[in-house]
This record gives sequence, structure tokens and C-alpha cells, in this order.
Amino acid sequence: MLQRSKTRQQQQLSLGQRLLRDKVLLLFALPGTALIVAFHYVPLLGNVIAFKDYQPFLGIGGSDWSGWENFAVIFNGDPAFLRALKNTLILTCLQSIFVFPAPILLALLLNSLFSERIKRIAQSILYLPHFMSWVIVVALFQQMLGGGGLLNNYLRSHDLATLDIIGNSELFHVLLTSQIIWKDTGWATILFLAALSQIDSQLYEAASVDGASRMRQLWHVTMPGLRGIIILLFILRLGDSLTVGFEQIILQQQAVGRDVSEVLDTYVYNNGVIGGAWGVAAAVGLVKGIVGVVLVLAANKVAHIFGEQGVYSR
Amino acid sequence: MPVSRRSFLGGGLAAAAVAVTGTPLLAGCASDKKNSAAANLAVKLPTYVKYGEIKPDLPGTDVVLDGFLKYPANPVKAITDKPGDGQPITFMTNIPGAIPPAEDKNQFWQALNDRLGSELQISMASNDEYPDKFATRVAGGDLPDIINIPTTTVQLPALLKAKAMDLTEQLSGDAVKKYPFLANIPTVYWKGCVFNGGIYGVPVPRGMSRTTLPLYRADLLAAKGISNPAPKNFEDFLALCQEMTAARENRWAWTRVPLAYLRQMADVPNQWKEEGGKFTSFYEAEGNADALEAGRKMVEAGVINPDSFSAKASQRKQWFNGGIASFDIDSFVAWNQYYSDNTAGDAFSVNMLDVPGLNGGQAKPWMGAALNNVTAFSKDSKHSVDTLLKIANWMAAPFGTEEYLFRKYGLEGRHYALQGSDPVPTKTGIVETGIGTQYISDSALALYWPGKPDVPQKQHAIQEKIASRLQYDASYGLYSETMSKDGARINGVLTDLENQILQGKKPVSDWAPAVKTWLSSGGEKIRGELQDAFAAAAGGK
Repeated sequence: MLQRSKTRQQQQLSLGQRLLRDKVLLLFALPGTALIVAFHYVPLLGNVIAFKDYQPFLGIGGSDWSGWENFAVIFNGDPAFLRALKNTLILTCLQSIFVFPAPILLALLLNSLFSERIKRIAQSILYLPHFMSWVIVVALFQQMLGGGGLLNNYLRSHDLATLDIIGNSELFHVLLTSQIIWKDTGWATILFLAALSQIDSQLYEAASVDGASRMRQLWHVTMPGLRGIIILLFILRLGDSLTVGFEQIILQQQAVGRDVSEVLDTYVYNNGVIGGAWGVAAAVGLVKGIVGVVLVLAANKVAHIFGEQGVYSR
Repeated sequence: MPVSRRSFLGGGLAAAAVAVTGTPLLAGCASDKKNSAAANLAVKLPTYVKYGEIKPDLPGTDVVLDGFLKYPANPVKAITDKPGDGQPITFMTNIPGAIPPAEDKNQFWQALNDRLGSELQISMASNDEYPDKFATRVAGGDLPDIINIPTTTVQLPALLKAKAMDLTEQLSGDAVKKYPFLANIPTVYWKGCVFNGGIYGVPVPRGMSRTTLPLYRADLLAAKGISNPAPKNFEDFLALCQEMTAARENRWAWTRVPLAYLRQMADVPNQWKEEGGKFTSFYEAEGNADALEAGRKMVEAGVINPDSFSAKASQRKQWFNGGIASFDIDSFVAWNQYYSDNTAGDAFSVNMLDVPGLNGGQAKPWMGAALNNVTAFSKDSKHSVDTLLKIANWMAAPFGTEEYLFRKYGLEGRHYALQGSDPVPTKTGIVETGIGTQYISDSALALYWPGKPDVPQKQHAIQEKIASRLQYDASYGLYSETMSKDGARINGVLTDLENQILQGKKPVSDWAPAVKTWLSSGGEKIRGELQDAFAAAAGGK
């Protein structure tokens, strides 16, 4: 009812009246919008190089048009492109299954801690890795698990067989996933913890009065309370689901080889920035972006069908 | 590194602006010379005029470098005028050593500015990162006055044509005599600076000094009782490596698999081989399978640092300096650099291995690439060509001059201590002088290490030993469009496979089919283009 009357009110006001009414809010939004336009929308124009035989030293204007030629690697299924796509999809699946739920579980675990003090300390420690750059994280893993690292040094000095973890192409996807979990799980709990604190404690009391066990409470009180935020984050995640980590991978690519480590982002980099095939790289990047947008819109639609709010309402 | 407004907004906005206005940057190009072999051949290369009469203690030949046991006393100040024009000059380069202190804290840099008569603003990146930085700066349209351009740069001729000054008028033939130290660079190095029918850069000559063979820590080998290692074949060599490995103590013989060395042992040619006008890539040589197999054996035998495949060059250098590895494969330039970076004290001693055949006999070492890089001057530079060439000329002052003494060793007292006539570098000297000026231009390397006459002696000895057996890259100075455009990409696939084979993740038998793919995806075209260029050059003679 309330919403409907609001809508009617909005319809009565003209655009000019509404702008006038919201002028302060709009003013607040201006700097942010300008930033987004300047650094996100204007550079989008550069995607035009996907249709050009772009040479950086000639500039966009000076390079020749090449039509859809750059997209040939995608349409004709260039093996290097397909390999990158395959690895990207594998990592997307792994990340959706293992990385995405990890912070939810951790948030539930933290939430179940009774001592506020321990909870705070644990949180601080868990947030820390997020602030390290990938260079540091990769170096840390290398120092701990590498061939000349702490673990293998210990094994060697005790005459035990060494473990080939870093630089082992068979374990690479697992290694990448573990590194992400180690680095970002703690940080990602913030939103879930916030959502958990919003759940009315009376609901728990009521449930326990009705004889619900801790598991039952989790299922019937906690999870419904978290559902909105989980769906929202999942949709947002889908948008960059084809972005499976660039810096992290490029830093470790040399050792494991491109067969397992080339993903769409490194393909764009290796072909564009390094190989000089800027046009092809841009074409692949463009298609990747479009796939991301389609995924977000589709997932949002599905969320609406199930009565959830999704990223934005209709 | 100064971040100007231009470099900040460079990438996206400038590009977008060009797109909107649609102004083709090349519109005003009057002389439309193609980068054809014929046009390049027509260029009269700078006349070689040898400078000075300093007599080397260890005389070189056309191939072997001159060696000096002492720095000449009372070096001549050869250039009296300051080359600069008073305005800051920007320069972008890689640096091989540690990051030096910034300009305001670097007395060498300040003294250099003073001597040049222009502030030299240098934007640096480590050797590992320079190609990325270079590509990004080009894409951002933000190039300095003086540009260190790697010879492997994609589409080099077109890049130079669009962005660099044509120096033909100033350098061709006798014109170069105006810049006596540039004239002192042998003609063969200028061949690599000719593109689009003109001279588009100044060479940073290497050649023999870049010849790359195993360097070993003679002090560490001596501690094991090995005084003059000269493996007779691969088996011998592997035994030597095993002797120098003590994995339990975290010591491995090698920083990485010396695949180039194994290839030389297996009689694989240097890049491209030419026979009767027909070119063969080194990838195609039969010896590759043996070399890869040998490399695999080394990995299996555990003589290679287990982190070698993920390590960067800078890390490998630390292993060698720190004694974690006793072998590294590198050049004479790196040999000197190791002495600069030495942290192991006075005992530190490096030497180089000769190349035996895999199964005995003597193999043919590969002559180093002629150029480290081409130094070009930006078309957009506000400085005159003459000023920039005068700076390059100053940087090419050869061994024995006062300029050389300063540019390599800095100021007496702070950067070096004079021992007789030898400028023995201090720690400060090594760190502060490492700002990459040698990549603006350089004289041919003189074999010399201040206060350590045994270094040039060892270097000279190994050069004399290998000189007659050197194999040259037949493609030097010949241009292939496909190699320039797709070379990095298609070679990258093979490098990747090499690593996988060496690690035992893929069989050696994968090599041959991969080379077939390489040939069909560009290699064959490169061959054709090189052959055409070679034929044109032969016809023009």
C-alpha cells in the first residue's frame, strides 16, 4: 500500500520537480558519478580496438579497422583461447564451490563463539591476510611450501621424501583456490557477520523455547536471515565469475606452464601487452565482459522469480 | 618515478580523445620509406673511427675483447663542453642491479646531472619487469626523450617510425665523426639500428660480452677440491654438478637448467643458421631432443634448485651470490655484475666453463646477441637531435677516458677508493652508480675489474679459448615482419613446453610436434622472410 501511494506521488511530480527536490542528494552523488564516468565509462570507449588492428604507437585513430577479424580466435575456437576458457571455467567452479561458502561457514563459527574477546582477536587475525598483496602471499606460500621452503627443508633434513607442491602443474588449481581462501575468507566474513547481528535474538529465544536444537536454530533462524545477503553476493560474484585472479596467476604461471594456468585474463595480458596482439586481446576481454553482464542479469532475473530482491528491484 | 599528469591520464583518456577526434597520428609522415631489406641496405652506416691509442694489457681481436689489468693513470678528459641544454632530459630504462637511491639522495646522479648540464630524469624498472613497463608506456602514449628499446619489441620498425627521430642525417657515413665516441662503436653494431631505410637509434653494443656460458663460483668449487673444472662430456658435467649439490644443506649446483648450454653441447645452432641461402631455426635442430633429455636428467638428479622454475632472475642472482648455487648461466657483463653485487667477501671468485660436446669433443658456443638494446629519441622530445646525440656520445666514452671513469665508478672518495690507478668501488659506489646510464649508449666492453687483475685475465683466457669456435646468429640485421609481430607469442608456447619437459611433466617426444605447430603458426613464414631479406642483402653486395 505504502509503496503504491509513493509511486503515485512520484508520477505526479515532473522530472524537474524531482531533481529540485533531490538536489542535495544529487550533489552528494556528483563526485562519485564523475569518477565512475571518467575512469569506468570513458575508458570503455577504448574497447573499439577490438575491431581494429590496433598498434599502441599509432594510437586508436591511426590503426586500421579490421571488422570482426579479432574475434576469429573465439568463433573459430583457437586452441590457446579454448585452453584459457577451460581453465577459467574450472577455476570458476572451484571458487564457487569452495571459496564462496567458506566465509559463510567461518562467520557462523565466529558467531557461535561466546567470548567477545576471543572473537575480536580471531577476527583481527583473520582479516590480516586480505591486506597483503598477491606478491607477498605468493612469496609466503613459496617460502613455506616451495622446493627450498620450510616444509621441504624440514623433510629433507629428516631424510623424508619431499613434497612437490609449488610449481606442480597437477596441484595448481587446488593451490590457487587454497591461496584465495587463506587470503580473503576472513575479510569476506564481515558482511555475513553484519547480517548475523541483524537477526532478532528473540527469534532464537522463541525457537529454543519451542525445543529447537542448535542445528535446528541454524537452519530455521540463521539461514533465512542470511539468505538475502548470500543471494546478493552470489549474483555479484557471477558478474565477475570469469575473473579468477590475474596477479596471483601471472606470478606463478612460469613454473606450472600455460596448459593449466592460462586463464582469460592472463591470455589477454600475454597476447596483448606482451605479444602485441592488442586487438585480439581486447576482443576476448570484451566478450568476457559481456558474458559477465549477461550472467548478472540472468541471475538477478532468477532471484526475482524466487521472490528475492537481488541486486536491484524491478 | 615521476608521475606526470600525462602519464596519469595517458592510457584511457588520451586514447579515447584520439578516438573521438579521429586524428591519425601518422598523417604528417612525409618520407614514406618502407622497412624493406633494399631500403635498409641503401643506408650508409656510420664510419668507424677508432678513438685513442690506449694499449691493452691483454690485446683483443675482432672478436676477443681488450683486457686491462690496471686503469690508465691520469685519464684524459675527452669532452670539454657540457652536452646538455640546461633543460631536464627524461630517460626510461631497465637496471640490472639493486634499486639505487633516488636522485635527491644520490650524489652520483647529482654529479652526473652537473656534468651533463641537464638534469637526467630516469624512470627505471628491474630487468624482469622492463618489457612489461615498456609495453605499457608505449600503450599509454607516454614516452620519454631517450628510450631504451629492447630489440625483441613487437613491431619495432613501425614503432620507431611512428615515435622515434630519424637520425640518418646526423649519423650516416662521415657525419658521425661529429660524435667521436659514437664513431668509435664498430659498424657491425649499427646494422641493428637500421629500420625503415634509416638509422633510428644508437646501439648499446654487446656481442662477445653477451656470450653466455656457465659461470661458476670458483671459490666454492675450490673448497671441494675442484680447481679447474673442464668437463669432457655431459656425463662428466653431471658428475661435477652432483659433486656441488648438498640438498640437505640447501645447496644445489645450479640456479636453473642451463638449457642454452646443453643445446650448445648438442650442436644446436645459434637462433638461425644459414646454409646456401636456406635458413634453419634452432628449434628445428635434432640436438634439441638430446638437450632436453639432458636437462631432464639434471632435474631428476636433483642438481637444480627446486624453486628454479618459479624464480625470477633477481632471485637466482641472490642464490649464486649467497652460495646456495655454485653455477649460473650468464654473460661476461653478468660476470662483472656479480663482482659488483658480491656479498661473499674477498674470497668471492667467478670463472666460466667451456663447452664440451654431449658425448665428448669440443662444441660450438653461441656468440652473444650484438645489441643489448637500441636507444631511440622520441619525436615528441623538445630537445634538439644534436643535444640528445651529444648525451649518447658522452655515455659512449671508452675505457681509459675520465668520462668512463666517472660514469662507471663515480666520484673518488665517496664511490671508489683509488688503489694505485684503480678505482676500487665502495658499497655506496655500487648502489649509487647503478642508475642504468650504460643503456643510453656504451662503448664496447673492456675486460677489467678494478683491483682484481685476475678477473680480466680469466675472462680474456676463456674468450681466446672459444673465439674460433663461435657460432653466429645468421638472422642478425635481417628483418622478418612475422618474427617481429608474432615471434614473442609463438616462441612463448615452446618456452612453456621446454619448462614442462624439463620438469618431467611432458615427454621429450612432445617437442617435435610442437615445433611443427610452431612452423605452421608462423615459423615457416619467418624463415621465408629471413631468406628473402638475406637474398636481397646478398644481391645488394
